[in-house]
Amino acid sequence: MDPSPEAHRPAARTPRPAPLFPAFAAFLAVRFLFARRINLIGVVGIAVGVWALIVVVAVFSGFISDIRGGIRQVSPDLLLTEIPSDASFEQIDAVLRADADVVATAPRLRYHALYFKHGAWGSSSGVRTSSGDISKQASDYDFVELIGIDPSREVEVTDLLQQVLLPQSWETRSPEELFEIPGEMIQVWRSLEGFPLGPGEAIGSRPAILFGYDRFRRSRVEIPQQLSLASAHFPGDLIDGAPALHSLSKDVHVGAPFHTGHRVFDETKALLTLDVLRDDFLGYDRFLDPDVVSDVAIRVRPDADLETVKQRLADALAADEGLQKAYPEGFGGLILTWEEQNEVYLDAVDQERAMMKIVLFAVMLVAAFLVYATLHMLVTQKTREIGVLTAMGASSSGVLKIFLSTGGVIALLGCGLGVATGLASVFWMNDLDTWTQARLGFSLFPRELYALDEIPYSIEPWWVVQVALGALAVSAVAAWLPARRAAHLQPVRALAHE
Amino acid sequence: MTTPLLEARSITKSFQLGRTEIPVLRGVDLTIGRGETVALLGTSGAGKSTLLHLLGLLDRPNDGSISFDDQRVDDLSTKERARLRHRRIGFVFQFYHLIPELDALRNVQLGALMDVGLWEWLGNRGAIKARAAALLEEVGLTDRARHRPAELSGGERQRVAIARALIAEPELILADEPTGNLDSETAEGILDLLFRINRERGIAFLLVTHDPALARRCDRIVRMRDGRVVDDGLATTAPATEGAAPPA
Repeated sequence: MDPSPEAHRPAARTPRPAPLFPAFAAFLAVRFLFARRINLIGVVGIAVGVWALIVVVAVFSGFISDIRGGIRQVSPDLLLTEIPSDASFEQIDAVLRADADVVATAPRLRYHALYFKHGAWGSSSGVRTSSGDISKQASDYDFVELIGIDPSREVEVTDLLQQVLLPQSWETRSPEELFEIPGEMIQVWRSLEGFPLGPGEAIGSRPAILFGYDRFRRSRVEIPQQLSLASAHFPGDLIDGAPALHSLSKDVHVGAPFHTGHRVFDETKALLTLDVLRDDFLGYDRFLDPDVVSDVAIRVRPDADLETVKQRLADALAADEGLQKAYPEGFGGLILTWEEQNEVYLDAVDQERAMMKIVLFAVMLVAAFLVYATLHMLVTQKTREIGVLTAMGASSSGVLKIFLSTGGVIALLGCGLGVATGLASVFWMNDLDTWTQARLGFSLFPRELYALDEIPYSIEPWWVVQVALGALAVSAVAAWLPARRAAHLQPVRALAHE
Repeated sequence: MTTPLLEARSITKSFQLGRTEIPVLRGVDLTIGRGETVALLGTSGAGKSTLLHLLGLLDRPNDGSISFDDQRVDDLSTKERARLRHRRIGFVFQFYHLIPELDALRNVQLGALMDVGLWEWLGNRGAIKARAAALLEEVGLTDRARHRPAELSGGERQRVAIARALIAEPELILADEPTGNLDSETAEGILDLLFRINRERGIAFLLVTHDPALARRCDRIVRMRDGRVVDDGLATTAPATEGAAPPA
């Protein structure tokens, strides 16, 4: 070694700009963080927050996607509703089909009814509507909203009838045949139930009512069990000056259930043919009121804008001369898109998802507090080292960057861990659930409760990015306060810190 | 005296204790020349450490001025003082103050990373590491490079601290009782190292000490009492026994 002082004397240094991110900040940040395991609690906190946000929202989104899919199957693109009770489907249909974007239409009729299982009434048809009789059968009746459809037209506007769970031997049945129970089948059922046909008695095919799968199972009905429908209406005549209430009844047989994935629809609706509901049950005259409907389901071209078509159809109905003549005070009518038809339900589901996000964001705030606590503790532990670094020439911003970097490393590790475990949990959720069910006897997700074969999920990449960025931002804010405290430490006091 | 490197003029400093102001320095004048070794002697409470902190730009005087290389530095911004401290002044402490999470080699490297950007460091890691290893070799700790402070003796830790101070190639090292926590034999070794560095590198030293034997090895001895410099003279003319400082 050259022993002369000049050999070591530094050459005249040219001032250089201070680095934006000094190396020592990153150099120390990682080492301070990993010096003690307790410092990693912030990483765990962020990871748990990110994991929860990804998993819960993925499952929720999967649910919503399933729900929307189910709703889409039963809801036509557009639905014309709130039309006059005596409106003629043919007349309306002609106006609607004149639009180039309308592909198909189908009539619908809605009505509420009670349905009764046969038992106390044996094989008798008809129902006595006195309250005494009903109360005896309290456990065997229920309300349902009947929807009368024209099966051959309905298949052109929705996928509703494709969701019917057909017994294997029925798979070749046409849409119309889904609503007919063959006489031979009823004959077998009656024999099994103990009231067979009498000698020489014949029976033809009978109308079927189709329930949603959940109701079908809950009501413990079976194909082709006989039920009675009962309802009442005010036809308009008076008895002693008061409107007369007329009872309605009709015997039907249980057909194959449908399972659309739209839980509310499946729970509350039952399908009949339009003819059976309108003529046989409600008693409309086949000749005087041949095509009374309450709604018209409309399918439009796939590339058409629903809002535009909706407005155009509304204008066309309002401008139609035939309808103007039939309804001088206005035809009325309301056209709803498939989302508007289910607005309340879809909004409720979206609200639930939003609420869930808020709750989970609170988890993220707890994680941020852990980051804050970790760094606060670290700054206290490292006060003397901060003094030493300052003596060595570290600037306040350099010290700040040490602890911001530590927070950044915590956030990056937490995010990485959270995203990785979150995505893995989502992808293997069904396997994990099957495993816990088989080995531990419990299910993370009671599939039967929701009548689902597997846990639905939908990963939205933008949401994952939002969660990761949110976690980084929250961590940065949480790291800022202790980092600022470190940067403002007086070096002399820091050096004297015990 | 050689060319002045650091000059302090009429430095005063007091601290607030509740409502009471405690004067610590009462008008101190001190000059340190290039390559000079100066011992700062005094009893506890004399103001030695406070003066060291002011000269090292870790604190600001209430009054007076400090110049480095003929440029006034006590009124610089915090950021500018930090940069000046890093480039031209080194510190050695009584209790070493090494970073416990880093091994000896990394503790020394740390001194070179204060004004190096992250990307520049990643591109020159090998060179910085080699410089740190050479300094550890110079202080006789090559075989202890991968040991953390907790695994080193007091003397070894102080050698690491000295190597850390050297890596930024300072012109002045301020040492606050560098042998105050060491046994006499180890302390002697540390002093030999410091004076060798002074000779070979021409770095000026200000050594705060209670040890008159150490003081006599320096070029000059400055004695303080009650916040004032009471004696400033060549070590060769200093009395053989401590406590014989002239009256203020």
